[in-house]
Amino acid sequence: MSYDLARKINLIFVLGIAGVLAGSLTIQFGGEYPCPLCILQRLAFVLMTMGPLLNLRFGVRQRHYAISLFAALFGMSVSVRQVLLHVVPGTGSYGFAVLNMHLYTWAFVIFFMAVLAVAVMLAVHKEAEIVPEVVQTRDAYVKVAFAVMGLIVAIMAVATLLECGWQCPDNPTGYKLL
Amino acid sequence: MSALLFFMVLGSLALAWFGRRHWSMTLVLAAIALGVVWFGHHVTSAIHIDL
Repeated sequence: MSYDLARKINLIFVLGIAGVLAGSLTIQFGGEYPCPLCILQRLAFVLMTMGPLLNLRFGVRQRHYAISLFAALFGMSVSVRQVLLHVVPGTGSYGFAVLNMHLYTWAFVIFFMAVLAVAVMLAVHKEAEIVPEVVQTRDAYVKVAFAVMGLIVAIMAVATLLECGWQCPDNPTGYKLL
Repeated sequence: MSALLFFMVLGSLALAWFGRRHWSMTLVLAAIALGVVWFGHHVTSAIHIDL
């Protein structure tokens, strides 16, 4: 795999996760407030994009992929916890379903796919094995990826602060600080 | 607490943008660790079982 193709795939990864996060913000501003576990899953998605962002900015490296793996495993743990809370019929659910699966189940699927994608990238991209010189780049890929993720993380940080304050309620019904 | 973690990621993004790779990675790993601690607290405080 060429170095440029690897960078393109990293950019697509970032934009894909940004799309998922933008969807969750749309749902939030549509009136459905995220629960504490939902917020942790969002956090894991955001943390997962840091690996590809560092790859784009400083060159593709194993350590950057490791960050994505740590974050994806963290996110999988949280989403499995939420699935298990509601998996028994009659125990209710949180939020609505999309294509017969709730958003936390979709989150689990996406985290699983991300682990798979990172494993494939580590397997097929030979340059990630070699520790190259750290090359700092601020090309169009970096600018787009950082602008999109910076905007999304800033909105999420403020929205979470307004909704939760220091501690989130289990079933939020509005913004605590407004 | 959760908002703090998002602000940590924002800081990490800024550090990466300004070329501070190691500090950025450290902050991300710290955010993951704090998230894990917070999640652990959430789970253990909700489950009441005798081991």
